[in-house]
Amino acid sequence: MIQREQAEKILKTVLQASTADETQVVLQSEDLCQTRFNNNWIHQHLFRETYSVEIKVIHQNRVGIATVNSLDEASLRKGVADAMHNASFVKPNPNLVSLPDPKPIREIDGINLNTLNLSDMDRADLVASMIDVAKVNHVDASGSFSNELRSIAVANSKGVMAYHAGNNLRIRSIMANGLQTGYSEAMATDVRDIDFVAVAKDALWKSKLKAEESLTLELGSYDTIFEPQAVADLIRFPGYIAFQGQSFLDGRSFMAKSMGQQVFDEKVTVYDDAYDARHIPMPMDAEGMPKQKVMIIENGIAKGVVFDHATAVRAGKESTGHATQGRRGGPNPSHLIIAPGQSSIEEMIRNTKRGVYVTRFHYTHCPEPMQVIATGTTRDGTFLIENGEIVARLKNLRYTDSMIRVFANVDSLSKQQYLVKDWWFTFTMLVPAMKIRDFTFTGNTTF
Amino acid sequence: MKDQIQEILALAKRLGATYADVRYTKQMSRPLVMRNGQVDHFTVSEDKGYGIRVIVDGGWGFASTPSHDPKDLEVAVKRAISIAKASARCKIRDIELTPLTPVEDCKKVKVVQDPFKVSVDDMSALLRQCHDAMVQVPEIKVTSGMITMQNMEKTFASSEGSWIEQEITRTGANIEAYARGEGDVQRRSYANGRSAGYETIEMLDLVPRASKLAKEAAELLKAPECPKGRTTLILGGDIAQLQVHESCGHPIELDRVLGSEDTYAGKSFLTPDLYGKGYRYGSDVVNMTADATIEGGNGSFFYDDDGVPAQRTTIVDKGIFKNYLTSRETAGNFGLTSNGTNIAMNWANIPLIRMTNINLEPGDWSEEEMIRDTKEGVLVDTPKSWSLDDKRVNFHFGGEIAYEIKDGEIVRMVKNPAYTAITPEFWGSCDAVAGKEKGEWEVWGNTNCAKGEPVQVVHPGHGAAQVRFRNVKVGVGE
Repeated sequence: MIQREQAEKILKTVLQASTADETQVVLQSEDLCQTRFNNNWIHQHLFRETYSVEIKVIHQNRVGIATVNSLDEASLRKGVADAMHNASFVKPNPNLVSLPDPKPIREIDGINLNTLNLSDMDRADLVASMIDVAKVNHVDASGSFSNELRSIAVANSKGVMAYHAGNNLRIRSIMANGLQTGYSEAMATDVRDIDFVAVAKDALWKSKLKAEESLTLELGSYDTIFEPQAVADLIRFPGYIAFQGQSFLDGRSFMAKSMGQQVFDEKVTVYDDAYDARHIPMPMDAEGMPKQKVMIIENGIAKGVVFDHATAVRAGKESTGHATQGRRGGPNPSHLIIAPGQSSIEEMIRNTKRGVYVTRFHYTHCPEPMQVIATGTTRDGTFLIENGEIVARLKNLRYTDSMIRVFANVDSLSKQQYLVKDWWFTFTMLVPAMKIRDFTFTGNTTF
Repeated sequence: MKDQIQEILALAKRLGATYADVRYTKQMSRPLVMRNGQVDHFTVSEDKGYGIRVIVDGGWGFASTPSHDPKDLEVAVKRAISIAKASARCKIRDIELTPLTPVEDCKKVKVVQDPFKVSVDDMSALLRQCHDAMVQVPEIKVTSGMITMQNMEKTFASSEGSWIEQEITRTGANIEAYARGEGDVQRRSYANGRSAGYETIEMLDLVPRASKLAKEAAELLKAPECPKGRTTLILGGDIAQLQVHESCGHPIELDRVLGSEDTYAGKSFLTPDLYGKGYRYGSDVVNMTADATIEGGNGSFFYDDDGVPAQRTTIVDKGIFKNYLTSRETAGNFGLTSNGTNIAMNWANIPLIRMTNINLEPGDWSEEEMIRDTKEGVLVDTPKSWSLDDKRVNFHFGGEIAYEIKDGEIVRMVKNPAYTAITPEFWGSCDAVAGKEKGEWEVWGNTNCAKGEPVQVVHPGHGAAQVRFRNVKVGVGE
């Protein structure tokens, strides 16, 4: 990882080398350990060290960018020269937005030493503890354990100089009981906050639940209970399609014509808060702007979207600190949170006369962005509920439904929130479990 | 560099590695992105470093570093060894690689016009012409265009004695037009690329396409919704190539079949018990190949990252499943040798089994004959969305545009088409593949194939033409 002092030296080298009207430099580093296992053995195991330095110059209303991954002075100077060279070819854009002025950032200590000091063998031992659960119970364990340490440093010629480093880990577990599977996951900054055996046992429990046979559900609309990782995949679509400033300004977001209006059920409140200690906290974005808490949906009413500097200027607003490096589609939410409700998963099941229980989704997509019509299939534990009890395992199902309609049909939310990622790894989110009325299943799989 | 790499391999062996390889890659890319007629950004990226893979005590270890400093490389070797020993803590058998004769070779993709030497003025002028053509249509509110080029120099060396240098250049483009109407936004787009130089861009004929796409996007605003129900479906080449990618290319990746990708990308319905048993994947007219040797194919290369030469392999022959994509680690499960598809995105990542050019081989129909022969159906083109279950059985695809066919003729444009099916039933219902006429069959460049944890994005190719399926469920939400 690149420490603050070294990072600032690199950033200053770039700024001093540039003769552009304005210059921005973003330095990112990542140390990633990833341990993957399947059929009760570790089959992939790696350490990856990467850096990137993105240099953006604005000169005479022209933008040029260069990215390098070498940190020596000659490479950095070449990067500046390349960016200037690139800018010289570009036609001036009179509407170009200037780089942001510095703003105070409330810093966060993101490094957890317990996680930082995990050795390669420590990781293997933790995975082995999960595989042992599988072996004792005559099932096969698969999963993925990542432990990442990241830093980001941003400076610009208008005085921005910001740095943050942090680490986190995530464990995902699938237990295969023959053809029946169960899934569980956990994510934290401190390795001591994850009970690896408990994660394995949770996946195991689901793999054994009603495992005798899988029924084929008659297609239609059902009251449906979603575990938090499934909720993450449902809110992901509004997240990247509708809750961000670029699509809002382009009119490609349903939020563009709905501000102040009731769009979701009144039980639904969605906001973005990078300082929430239960999340993976982050004080700044890829322009060095401080993260702001943004209320997106409050009691079902559309309240706001997230902005980077350029989209904020165009919208006559302030940046909310949601610039994304390397993503050219504009800003994005970074720390989505769905406010909790009053229920629990057990209570949701008890209160369901006939419905479906979904553990997680696979490969979701959005054929119709304006209405946020999404589709995807369930996996690793889909169950039929009757008269307040799980009565059978179901073959996996395809859903196709509008996420606007889905979040307007919320029956209940759990009191407890969980830190999860969606299947695509787009967002890390803090979300409750959720029960939806009349969720639409449109297809069956054969397993 | 040769001495440095040989020293890494020697150190790995001294530290107990029974196998080691080193991959050095240097990748340059230079995307030019235009948005609404203005250059949004023009970037030059350079990314280089070393990936070191070892087998120790029967377990895999991998470490990568962007540093060229011998001390940092030594640290990386030791880290790879440490990781391999930790992997061996949880093994059920020792890793075994299928035999390979060591190779010394140096190869380079044929490039007529070096894309890195093309003036930015020329590139931006071309994209601006596309924009200008699109905004002639009043309903077009947002346009974008991008020209991409990538050059990768790769050196592979193994403890078995291979030394392979290869240089791959890829060039491509995409253009998009968004039409906005009352409460509706419709997109038309085109994307393609090849393993070749800037001559690719000239072949793509972007400006006339831009004009056509814009008109279609505007027309879609007024078009009725695609009819729902079971009908005959004809896929245009653009969406057929993605259908091949998702419902054939991914399920034949043997690492996925064996469970390596379970937590993320999933497994496959083409389970090992089906191999060599004459399993019917599709109808008699369905023939599929994996061919990394097609000149200009986006998924072409000379050697994979096990050092295995690029090959052409029959995947489906007259509807019968024949072969997986394999690596040196996985091929031995079936008593085979690798067919050379183990590829890493770059130096920083481990190789995984990836698609090369996965092709639906041309048939003996023309598109015109296919339409004329269809009493009732829809012709869908250009993927808008795609979703498959974790064994690639049930899928749902959305297209950007569709045309209703009645009594052998296209009668009207319809919007928001989607279709859903079960993979072997779908390919089993295929009764016509085009390719008879010049230009119908082509190798499309796919620029965004993601797999693995951490996610690696690679660039396969897919030969495809128009293809017809019977009795398919069509319609969003049905």
